[in-house]
Amino acid sequence: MGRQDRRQDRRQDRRQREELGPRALPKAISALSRALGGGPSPETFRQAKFDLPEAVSELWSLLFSLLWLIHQEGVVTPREPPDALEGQIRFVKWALRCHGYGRRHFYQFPEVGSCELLLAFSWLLVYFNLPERFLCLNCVHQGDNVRICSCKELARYPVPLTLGPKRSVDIHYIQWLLGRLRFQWRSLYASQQEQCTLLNKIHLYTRGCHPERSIGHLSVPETELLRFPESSKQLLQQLESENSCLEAFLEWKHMELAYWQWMDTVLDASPVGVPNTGKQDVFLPEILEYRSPKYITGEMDRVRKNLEALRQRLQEAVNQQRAAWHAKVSSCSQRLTRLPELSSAMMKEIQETVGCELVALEQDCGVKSWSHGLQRLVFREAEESGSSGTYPVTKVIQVLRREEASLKKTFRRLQEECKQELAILAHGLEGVIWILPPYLRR
Amino acid sequence: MLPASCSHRLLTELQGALGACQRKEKELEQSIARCRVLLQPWEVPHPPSPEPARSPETEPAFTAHEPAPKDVKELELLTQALEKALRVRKGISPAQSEQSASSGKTAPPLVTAQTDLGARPRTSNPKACVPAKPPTTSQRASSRLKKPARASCHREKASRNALTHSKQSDNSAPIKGPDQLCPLPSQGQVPGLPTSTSVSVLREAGATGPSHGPEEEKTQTGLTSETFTLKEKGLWAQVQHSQSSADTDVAAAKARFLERMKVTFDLPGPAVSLAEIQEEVNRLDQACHLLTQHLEETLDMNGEAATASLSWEQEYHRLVTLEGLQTAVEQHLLRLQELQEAEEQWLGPRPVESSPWGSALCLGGEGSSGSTGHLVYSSVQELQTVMALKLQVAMLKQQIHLEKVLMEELLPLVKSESPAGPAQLALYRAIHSQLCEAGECFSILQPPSVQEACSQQLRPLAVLSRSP
Repeated sequence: MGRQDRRQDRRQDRRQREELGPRALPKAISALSRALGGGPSPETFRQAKFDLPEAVSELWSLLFSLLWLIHQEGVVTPREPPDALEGQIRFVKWALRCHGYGRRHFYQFPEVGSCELLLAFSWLLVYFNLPERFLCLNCVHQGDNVRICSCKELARYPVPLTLGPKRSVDIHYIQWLLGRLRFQWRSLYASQQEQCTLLNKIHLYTRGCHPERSIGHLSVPETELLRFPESSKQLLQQLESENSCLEAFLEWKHMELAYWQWMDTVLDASPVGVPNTGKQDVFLPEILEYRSPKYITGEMDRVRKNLEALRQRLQEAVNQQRAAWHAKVSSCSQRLTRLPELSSAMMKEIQETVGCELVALEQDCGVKSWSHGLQRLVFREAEESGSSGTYPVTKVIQVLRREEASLKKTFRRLQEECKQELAILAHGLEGVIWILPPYLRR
Repeated sequence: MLPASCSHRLLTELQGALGACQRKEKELEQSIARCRVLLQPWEVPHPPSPEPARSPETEPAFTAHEPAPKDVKELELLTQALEKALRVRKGISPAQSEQSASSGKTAPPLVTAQTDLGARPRTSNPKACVPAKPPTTSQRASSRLKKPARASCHREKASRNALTHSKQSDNSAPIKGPDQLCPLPSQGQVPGLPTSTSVSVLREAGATGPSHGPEEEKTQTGLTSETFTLKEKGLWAQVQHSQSSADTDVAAAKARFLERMKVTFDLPGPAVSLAEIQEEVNRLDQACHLLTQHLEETLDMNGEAATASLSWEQEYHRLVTLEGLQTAVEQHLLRLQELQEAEEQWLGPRPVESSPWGSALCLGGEGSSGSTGHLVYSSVQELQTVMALKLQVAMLKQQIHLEKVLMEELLPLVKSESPAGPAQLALYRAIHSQLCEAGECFSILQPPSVQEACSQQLRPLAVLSRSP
């Protein structure tokens, strides 16, 4: 699209917004409701503004369904949603508390006014970028999707222990479990290779069948559609509902401003700073209910230990390097009056380069160079220039190899550490012969 | 026997790791089963006619057959439903017809929906042979499909087909469906077929003689696949467009609302919420991982080469890098300390762990965008390599984590207890093998008493060779 078109678009957008009249708000709200998969009517929202009790239960269920959906993403062990209203309310309060929502009146018990709920809902809209996020969560994927980053692969799967906290086991049991784990790894590797072969076969056989030229072949779900035509009806329904959500969303986007202007008035009207009437108690949700404290603090401990270990290593490395540097400089300066090799300009240049490298590294921590999301696997034989949005597998392989090498080094280093510790011990053992196994180089 | 707390922790970690592997294994098995089902010969209502040009491939994925009448009825129902869906979509299509960069057709509005398929064959592509044509010229378009470039099997298929008459009666409604799915390679020898036609294959099939028999049954679902691709492309593109052209007024209004709400927050608590704490901890974890990687690479730059061989620049570069990494780590540790203090404020003093493991609800996280990028591979080896590497990285991370846990739990045992009887020595042997050899090799520990007993022969214990 040329600049002309974009300008025209913006002008059109602005014109549409200026056309917002008194009817704009209900339309906006109904569009929003539809974009969120069918929510309360504009009437409910109006009632909520005036703090009428009729709107309360609808707003609670709206808040619950949205928050539950958001929090199901990426959960390892899916839980059953609480179906009783009370359970749902508790969940909503907990979730909002964890995200830092701090309006006292919201946490009142037992009754919360609908105006408070409306404010909470609008806050959610902004904080979670909700209509967009809702769409993305409910997006119907039809491709063979893989994730490039491996952080969610083999994520720790919390299993409730049958063993009580007091019982103890033998070291051999631990060894046996570790052996099982090793076998698991091997079989995982074999299964995955097989899956790749099969996927590739399907991609090869269905070449030329996809309407989109850039993809060119079908994925497994798409081929299944062909194989089992009955499933296409269900897919059609899903697509139709997604379609209507998308359309409603686009409508909402045009009229969003009216909603936020209205929310300003709601905020003005709501009683702010009214002291507790005493009848209502503020009952703060128990943060610990849904999350074992060991989890958060466990994670933090782990990260802290890693960082501290890294700091120690860096300290040693820096000292070593500094010593080497000074040795070099002093040995050179003994012979010559000045440093011929390294001028101050070059030093500055090197400092800048390193600074840039480290900044890039830091940025990588926040945002990966490619997204954490799902990518569609596409088979393409010829070497075509990569357009935007396509990641050639070769680049991914390079990065992964680097990561693998560094992880292997870390692992070897840990093993060396253990060897040294145990060697110290071995010296302490009197009269015991300790024969180490032959070290076969891999 | 190991002490209770040690056992508990080790068991928790190991069961967690095993559970993760089992889950992944199950996923892979399911995926493999799905693929296998698809690769088996598809069931046919009628016996397939003998195909003269059968390829050496042993996977006759799709075979020619005639559709049963009930299939035809289903087909019609489906196409009607799709028509309706298309009508819905039609309302938006004028707005996004400009986005179909590759089309440039002045097709009637109904067909506009099809133009952004992007499947218009480029002139450079010898395989594609069908230009988009309005439905009226469907017949000609269909015959165009039978280009000589295509394998002769097409013509044979077409001539063999006895579809026409049965189809004609049923397909009364002019179905202006979206572009057709190209027929799947039935013999498996056709490497690439024309990507699409712009006309309803149903109509062709009904009206004309040379028609696609085997594709017949596929077309109904082909319509579906087409439809969803169309829909996704059209509307999602619009959504993304609306996101990119961010409206400043709305953004300002939202920001203002958020600010005003924040002012009204009157509950006590630290400024950073639990969700933010968790996100930052994850980020710091990732940062640590990357910094470690960078450190390994820096130290390994010249391998075991003597320092003298490094040039001045390299030496200095190394020094500056290491110092930079050091400052970064210090900053991260400070930040972690702050987060820990905030977290303590939220959770209160650490309670005794009495509750069973509660499944951790993931707080927040980024939603993936509707349209995903493409990960392009060009050979099966590449695909296998990349998947194997991903798995390897995950396994290494798991291994490293477990190694650290084992070190924490087992090394103190080794240090504290004084060497006693054979049981203790067995413990040492086991710990050594696990920590130092990843459990693959075992060492030999000869306690003094045994040495006196069997002086001559040292009975070698089984030394397991390293796995290949």
